[in-house]
Amino acid sequence: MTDAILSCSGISMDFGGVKAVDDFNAVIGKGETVGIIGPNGAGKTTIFNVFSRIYIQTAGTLAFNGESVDHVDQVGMARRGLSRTFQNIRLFSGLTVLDNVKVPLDYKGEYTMAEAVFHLPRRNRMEKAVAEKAMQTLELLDLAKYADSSATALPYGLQRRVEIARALVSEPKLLMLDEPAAGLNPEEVLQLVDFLKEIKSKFEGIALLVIEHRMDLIMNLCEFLYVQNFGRTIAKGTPAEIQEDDAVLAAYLGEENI
Amino acid sequence: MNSYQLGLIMNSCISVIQVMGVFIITSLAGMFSLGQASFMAISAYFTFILARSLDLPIILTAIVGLGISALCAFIIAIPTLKLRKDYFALITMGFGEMISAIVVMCEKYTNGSIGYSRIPKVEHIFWLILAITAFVVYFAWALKRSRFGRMCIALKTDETAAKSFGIDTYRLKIKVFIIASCISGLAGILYGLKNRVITPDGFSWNLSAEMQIFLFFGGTNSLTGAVLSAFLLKLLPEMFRSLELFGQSLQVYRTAFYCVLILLVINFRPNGILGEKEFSITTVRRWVSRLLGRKKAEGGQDD
Amino acid sequence: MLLQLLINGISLGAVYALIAVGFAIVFSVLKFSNFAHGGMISACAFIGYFFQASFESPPPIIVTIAVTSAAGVLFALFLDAIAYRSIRRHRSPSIYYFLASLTISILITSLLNIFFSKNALAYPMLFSSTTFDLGSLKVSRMDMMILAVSVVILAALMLLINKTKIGLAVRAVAINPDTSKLMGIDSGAIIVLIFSIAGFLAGVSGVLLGCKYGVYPDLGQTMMVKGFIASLIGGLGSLGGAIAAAFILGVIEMFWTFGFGALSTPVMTFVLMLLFLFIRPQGIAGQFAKEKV
Repeated sequence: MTDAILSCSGISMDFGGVKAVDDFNAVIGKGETVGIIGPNGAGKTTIFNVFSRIYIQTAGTLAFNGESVDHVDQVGMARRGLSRTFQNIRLFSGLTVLDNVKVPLDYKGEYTMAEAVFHLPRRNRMEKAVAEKAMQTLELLDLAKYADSSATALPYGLQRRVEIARALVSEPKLLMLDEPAAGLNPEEVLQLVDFLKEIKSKFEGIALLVIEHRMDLIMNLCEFLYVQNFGRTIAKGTPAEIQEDDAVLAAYLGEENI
Repeated sequence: MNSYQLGLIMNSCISVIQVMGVFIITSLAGMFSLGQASFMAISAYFTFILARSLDLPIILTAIVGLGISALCAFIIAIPTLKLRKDYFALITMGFGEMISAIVVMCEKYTNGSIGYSRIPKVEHIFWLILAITAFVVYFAWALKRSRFGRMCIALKTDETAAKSFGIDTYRLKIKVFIIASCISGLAGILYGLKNRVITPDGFSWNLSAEMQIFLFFGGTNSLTGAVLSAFLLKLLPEMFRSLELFGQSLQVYRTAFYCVLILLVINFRPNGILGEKEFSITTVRRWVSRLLGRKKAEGGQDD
Repeated sequence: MLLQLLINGISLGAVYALIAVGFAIVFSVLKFSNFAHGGMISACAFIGYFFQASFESPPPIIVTIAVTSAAGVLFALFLDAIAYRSIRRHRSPSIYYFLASLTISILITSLLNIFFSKNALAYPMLFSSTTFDLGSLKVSRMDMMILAVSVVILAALMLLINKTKIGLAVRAVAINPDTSKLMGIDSGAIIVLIFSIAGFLAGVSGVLLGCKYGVYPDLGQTMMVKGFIASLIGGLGSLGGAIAAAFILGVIEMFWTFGFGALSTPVMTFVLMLLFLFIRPQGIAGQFAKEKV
């Protein structure tokens, strides 16, 4: 199991009697691309929130990079190398695009407050390094020209891209994307797939976990899928297997016209 | 300039330092403290009482005074900052009440509600206050532009998201609160040095609230706005001291007047006067051109 | 002696409970700390005082309470119109409610300070003899009157919230205003109702506090801190918790004052609250007002 970046068994999440997630088991290997699909209210985002420790599961165990993380909080999880985007875009509104992308690098900044205030050399050096790193990531996502605009003033599609940049800049071991293709047209979805594949080649060993409704993205990108409905896993397997699965067809593919 | 005018400027500078303390807590980290005046009191009383009773130089006791403010902030912060933000405002307010009570209670040392006036005279007080004010404003500016400032603004706009990028928001909030309380303490010491008397009434809840109002007036996220409004709102009413309304000096009405202004701002310009913008030559130019443009358009559309 | 202190403490707790509930009911629905409540209490104390003093022979205190609480409701509606309505209309974040209430509180206190000096005004004597004997106990008539009025009003309020349709609507809006709207509840009207109830409670507690401590501009501010502390200990936003905590706080304070003097009570209550939050941050009620994730 050492080559699994994240593994969980028996994860359940209760909200006052409502089981949002019931007995979820998954293994995500290093460098793998895994998708979670399912209709609205299937508990997909809740799984993300448990993985990133916004929620602490009511039952089950979770391990990250071979280490048990049941008692790790949100901050600790991020520092271990898990990074995510949010379904309802959550950029920092008071900051520019560039500053938004700098934020994930800031907790490990090595200069102290005194150095910050007096603009001592180490502060300036580190700020420069952080700015360069953030700028590189922005260039990767073709966002460099928006670096100085206010993040929340950008159009929706660009905001989604900034979110991905912000999640990528810290070079996570596992990147979780919550509906990255929402609001994109089919052509843009293909671009996104290409881009995500490119990321996998650029950041060696990075694993991707994607929640998505859009079958075009899921089927082109993911190596393995979990299908959720009403909090339970109704099927898992490769995209090809899932497409053949009757239960999935009945519960999900049949309802949503693709 | 005569000594009266110098006094006014010193008061305004101290007001700027006070508001900088609140700026760091509220505008950077997004928390509302209603007890900053009590940190002024703590530092001021400790500094001057120790200086007198142990016969130590004021610079040494001032450091002790600031340290005690920091310690108090730390103790309050530990249980409070884990809870939702509303607790923080209420608890800091309760803390203020407690400090006022302690000052009155320890009459033997503080001279109770009459006020403590055995404050040593310091030479060149005007330049001292001016220099410290400049430093504090520079401090806040540099902090805002550093990684700490970014982390704070991230924390303010979305705490959950900030945490998911590895920011230990709890520790960050504690740090910010301690720094802000030291700045407030510094304002308290300078206030004492300038006025040569400190009373528990002078550090009441109203002062803490006034700082918040000055800050909001300048804009929710603008350092320059905060500095300007802290300076001017303190200075302007003094200039109209001689005018009278209902048999009272206009100066008496200043707080009420600001409150009405704030209510107008809330109703008609819900981001503060400057909003998130920093004040600079370009913004002034833009304003002027917009104003002229509007005049040309003769009652053009409102924005 | 113990029993005597206990009775006095309960009576004190009853006033704290009125304040704490007035504060907590706004918090439970709108999720902001209504600082204006302190200013309202001061204003109502003055209104009650001038009403009472305008008669040659003062009317029964119940009449004053009724008139003042009606004035409190009107006052609350006025504040809603000048400050809160536009916040609702702009759907501004709750920080603006907080700021508006803070501003209003300071505005009221500073106006009162300008027009009335800081010296306390005393309500005319209510009772010919201040105490009556109950067995071996000397019971203050004033304290009993305060206790009786507070308990009746608190009971009526709890019935209103827990047993009526209106109360159900209030609780629904408190849990989720948007969903309530879908279910046909006019959340705007409920919010206005909540402010009116808070104004009503401010009126009652203003008169009672005025009778007990005299009328001065900072009265409400000082007393509001006790109400805050009670509702923090009770669990922010929980009415039952706030009432329980207020009574406990009143009794503890009475005993403390007896043992160590009144000067140090603010210190004691604050330290008590800090320790309590340290041990049990969710408060007595155990309902933890969490921020939305």
